[in-house]
Amino acid sequence: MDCRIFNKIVIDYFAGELSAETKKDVEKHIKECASCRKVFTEIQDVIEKSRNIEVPSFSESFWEKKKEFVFAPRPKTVKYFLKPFLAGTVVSLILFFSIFLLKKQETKNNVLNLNYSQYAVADLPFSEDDIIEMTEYMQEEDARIILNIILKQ
Amino acid sequence: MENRNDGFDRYYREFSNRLYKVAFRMVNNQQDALDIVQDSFYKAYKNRDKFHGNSAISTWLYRIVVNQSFDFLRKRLHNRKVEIDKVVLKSKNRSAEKELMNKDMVGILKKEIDVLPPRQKTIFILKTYEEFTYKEIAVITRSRIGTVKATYHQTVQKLKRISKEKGILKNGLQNI
Repeated sequence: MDCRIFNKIVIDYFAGELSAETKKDVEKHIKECASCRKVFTEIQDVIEKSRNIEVPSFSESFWEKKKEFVFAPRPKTVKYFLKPFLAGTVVSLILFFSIFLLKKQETKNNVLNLNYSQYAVADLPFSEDDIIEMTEYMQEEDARIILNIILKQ
Repeated sequence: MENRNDGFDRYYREFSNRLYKVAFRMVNNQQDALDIVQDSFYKAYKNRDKFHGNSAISTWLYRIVVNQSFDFLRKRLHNRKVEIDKVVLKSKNRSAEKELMNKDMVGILKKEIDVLPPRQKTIFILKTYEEFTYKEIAVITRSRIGTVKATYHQTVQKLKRISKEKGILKNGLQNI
């Protein structure tokens, strides 16, 4: 084995990714080559010391206690990528209904803005009950005039 | 419990501590690692019908934990970037002092591994501590074997270079 190949595979030696035969070749090479031996030792040191980093662990009873919570049903949440769509839909619906209500109100006002003095109530395309209901949306004075007409008839 | 969750708690008992260790090494915080493991198991349990057995269940569970940890690190990285300007001067002096006081190799490596980019960190953890093969890591991280191998090599070389720069590597041959 030459140094170039050694340098390519030395990390795989520690990663357990080499065949037994190639591992032997690596071991043979570092006995013969001082500079590769140095590289080998440095990598060995880095990996071994990394493995010495401690991590806290928990007992079986701890995980057993947590289990009830893990498998308990949780409230449904909206997925984060759906949130903008949901917000957009809500805003659109609010806008749509606002415009719809405004238009409806406008139509009602237009009907009420008819110059009713020119007509007899009987000429209007509404029943008496409708007209009485409409007076709720009129100015007080106008409503009084309309109601007077109805009462007179 | 066994009946209620279709025997899924068997996997929970078998893998919770191992997955917790992976999550802890990824995020370096006990509470966050616990949250990641619990959320991962909940997610796995909820989607258990989607697991078709194409890989080992452990691979699937590791993948969920790795993804959850990845998301967590991404969010933390984003939050850190916002705050970094405020603390950079203070922490620079403090960390330099601390490093001088605590100049042992394990401590320094722990710190260096913690600041590795998420992808390098994941592959390093799965290889070094969980001892998965490159092939298994490729399945867990949904990468190519060549990419996993190259990333692992790159990470070890990087840690070696940093250890060398800090003058904490030993000389001489050990335990061959």
